[in-house]
Amino acid sequence: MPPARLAALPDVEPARPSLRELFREHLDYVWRIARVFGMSPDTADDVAQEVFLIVHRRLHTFHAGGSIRAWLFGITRNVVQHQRRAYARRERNLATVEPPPPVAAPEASVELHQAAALMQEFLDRLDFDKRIVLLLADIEGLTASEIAETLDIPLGTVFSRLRAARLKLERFSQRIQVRDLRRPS
Amino acid sequence: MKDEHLSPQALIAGYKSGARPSPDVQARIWSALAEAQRAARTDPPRRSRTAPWLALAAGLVLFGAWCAQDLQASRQAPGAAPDLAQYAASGAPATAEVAAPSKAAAPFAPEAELRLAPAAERALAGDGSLRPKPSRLPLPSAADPTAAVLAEVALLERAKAELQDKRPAVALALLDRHAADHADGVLTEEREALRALARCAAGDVSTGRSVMQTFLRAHPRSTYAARVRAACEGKRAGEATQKD
Repeated sequence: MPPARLAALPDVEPARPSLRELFREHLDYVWRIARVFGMSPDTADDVAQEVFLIVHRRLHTFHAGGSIRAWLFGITRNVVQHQRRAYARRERNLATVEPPPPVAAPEASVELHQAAALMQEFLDRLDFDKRIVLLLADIEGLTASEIAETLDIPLGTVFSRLRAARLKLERFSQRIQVRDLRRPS
Repeated sequence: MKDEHLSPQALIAGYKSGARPSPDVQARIWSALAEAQRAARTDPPRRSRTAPWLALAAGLVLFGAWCAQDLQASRQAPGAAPDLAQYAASGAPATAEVAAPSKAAAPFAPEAELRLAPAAERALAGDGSLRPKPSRLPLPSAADPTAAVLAEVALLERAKAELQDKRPAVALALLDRHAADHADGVLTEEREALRALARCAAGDVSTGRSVMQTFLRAHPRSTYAARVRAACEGKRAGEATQKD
């Protein structure tokens, strides 16, 4: 096609995802980011709800073709920071209120439940920089360049943190396997 | 023997399937979203929420500027000199007394709006000919209430400046332009107040008074009423003195 005709063609803009699609595909992602930022499961529920309400209001500002997960990460991080400030205020005001009893975990196979709990234990102990990279890479499946863009860090840093986090996970896995073997059946 | 369900891959897989909001929470979040969507559909359009506040701010900007100019004029007027001289002689802070009202008007003028106004003002700036050219100011789109109000402010500011520069005919032309372009504008009260002032300043006191009376009937509690009355009544008194 001649260049003149090519230039005359309208730009095809990638379609912006609908709220329903975003909710279906990324709710778990948002919730896990909130958890990785140190939110309790209950607070992560609230964060996820707030994030999607913001997404509903601001979806028109999302640049179609950009990384939706980077965008969601940014919103989630802001909501988490806001939540922390609100939590600190509540703590000061309600220091004497009894905490509610823990809610039973959703139904899952014992092994899956155990694996999820162990992984959470591992993530809680891992330092934040490695934790977030491991989550985005190995759990959420983002590419290294997406992670670099999302966290605004160099690509080399992504790789080095991921390598260190994987090594720690490997050691953790070995330790709990030994612990599991020693446990009387 | 190695426990496969505790390998790094198994831990990650377990975390992926187990670390998520419960179905109840998912349903709760979705219903909150559905509620927000319903509310957004039934909400009035944004224009009706923004424009009145912007109009109020614009009106206050004009009024604030007006008050400040009045004070400046009274400072420069020969009649005002003895009062200021008395203040100065008594050791009272005359400058502070004069400057205070213009400072008081400042909070009513949001900086963001004020900063945008010169852009519209530049669009208006022309070659200084008496008749303003219609092509100077592009008509704002109906979908952009902010631009519409800013364009109104710019037009009225220009008319006011022309009036101060003793060019009431140009001011009146600009006010006619405002009436044509912004028939349902949010600053019609300001326009009609300026029109009365311009008529009186042009020496057309009888028309000025008629415009003033129409204005006072339409806006009996207007913040500009005293100013309009003083300007037109003052002219009338001046004319009567000259006739005597």
